[in-house]
Amino acid sequence: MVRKKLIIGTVAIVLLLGSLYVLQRLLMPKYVSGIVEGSLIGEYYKEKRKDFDVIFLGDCEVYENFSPVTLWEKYGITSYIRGSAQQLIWQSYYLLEETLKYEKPKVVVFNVLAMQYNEPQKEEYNRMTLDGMQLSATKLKSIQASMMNSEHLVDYLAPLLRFHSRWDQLSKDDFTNLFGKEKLFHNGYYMRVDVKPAGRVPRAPRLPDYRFGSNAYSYLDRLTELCKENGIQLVLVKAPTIYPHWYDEWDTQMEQYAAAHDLTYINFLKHMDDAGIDLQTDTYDAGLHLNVYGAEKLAAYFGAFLADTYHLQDHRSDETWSGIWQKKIDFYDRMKQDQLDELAKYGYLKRYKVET
Amino acid sequence: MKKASIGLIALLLVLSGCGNKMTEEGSASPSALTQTEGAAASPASTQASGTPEQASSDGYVFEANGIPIPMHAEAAPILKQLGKPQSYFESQACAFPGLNKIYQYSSFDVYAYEKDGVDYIASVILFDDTVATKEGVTLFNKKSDVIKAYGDKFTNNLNLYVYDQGKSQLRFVIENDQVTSIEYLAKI
Repeated sequence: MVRKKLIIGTVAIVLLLGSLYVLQRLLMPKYVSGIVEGSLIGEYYKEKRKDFDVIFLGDCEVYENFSPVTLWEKYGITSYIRGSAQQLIWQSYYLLEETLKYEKPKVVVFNVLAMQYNEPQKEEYNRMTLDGMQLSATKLKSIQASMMNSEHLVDYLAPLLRFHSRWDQLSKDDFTNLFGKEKLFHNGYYMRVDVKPAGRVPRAPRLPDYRFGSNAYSYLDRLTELCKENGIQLVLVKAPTIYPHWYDEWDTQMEQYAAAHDLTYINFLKHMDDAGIDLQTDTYDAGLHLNVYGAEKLAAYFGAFLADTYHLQDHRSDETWSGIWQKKIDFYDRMKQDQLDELAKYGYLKRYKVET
Repeated sequence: MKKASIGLIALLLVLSGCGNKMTEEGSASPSALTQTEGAAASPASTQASGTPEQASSDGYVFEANGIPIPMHAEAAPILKQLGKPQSYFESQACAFPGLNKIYQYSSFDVYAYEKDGVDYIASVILFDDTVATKEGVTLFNKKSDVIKAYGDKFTNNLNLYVYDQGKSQLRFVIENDQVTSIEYLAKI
């Protein structure tokens, strides 16, 4: 009798927990159409082989501006972008800490635009970075560093508590992607084939203080230290996009930081001609981000520097890597053609992004 | 089993009845002025209105050639009166729908945010001393001129001096006793 009750009780608890788990998966945003950037971080875990030469860290200035497929095709460099929308520097730091549990890249590239943020900014962006991470002590630390005053740790540990009221917004995507999502990105790169030429950008308003904050610097120090401890070359970059404004005062601070810590800092805004980037053709949103043509040019230009400076091995003769990357190239080419077809048919990217 | 089912149903009822509404984007109240990365460097982007606020007559109002520009006011009629801008720029926030629109006139820029297909005034930034605030302060005035016009009830952080009124802010950057930036800002 006691045994029977025990079995029934156990089954009931398993069913309860299972139901809650399924419910949570159903109600969490899937980020598979429209706002797809929330799927960026999670795709990394699906990579079967994670010993990449180069890891990129940062916000949209990395995941929209560098094409890992081009790095492979031109130089045999294996790379992955661990970036997400408005990814804050402490989130990049903890993503690297987590990445190091899987692999030890030779080079880490960090885009410095995030230095302007000294404190958490917005829950929506936090969610897109943090919910994609697998549960670990590192994730907990990243959550603690990222939470707005109105946020609670428990909402990240049990997202059902935060997303439960999405039940009346559920769409077909929520059901078809309940236990797995289609692949959307190319080693963390977000592809866009459309073109919107850059015009005149707004005047840059004066700021009350141009110094980056102490918290941002603290995490840059930690990022630098983490790379040094692991024998990783850290490269600081500023992507070649003209808006939001990158102030000269910010640039000087990064130059000084790099010099003081024996790091390389490349402001690609100063190398656009050398890279062949033309913001009349190579951006999809008037200079905020590069399109695929710009991202390929930037990767081709930066790849030469990476290969030469850090003597990165050309893996193209490696059969295992070649097989893996051929599949990635096929997917990349398919998506590019698919987007071009959509653009021709509708005049905008219907499936890949909302109409703009 | 029966107890577990009751527990599950009770839990679902509790969950469905509490907390903030979560939108597709994960926002309790989706921002109409979600900026791109980095755009928060612009003073205008410090505004993050959840929903368009009623343009408040008790807020600070910038006037250009006699045309009042209240914060949170519908932009279209104002822009029509202001005439064709020297340039126009729009940006979409990373990962979020809705455009931020910037209209550049010779001495000031007007920022607008979009909500449900309608544009509202988010901010006005003055760029030279040919335009003044309604109370007569221009760029390159002294700090004492600002205090004379607006009083000493401001909040201050480094070089930034902020006056609050209704659903608006008037923000001055004062460096070496000289006003170097003036911005009207719609606030939540």
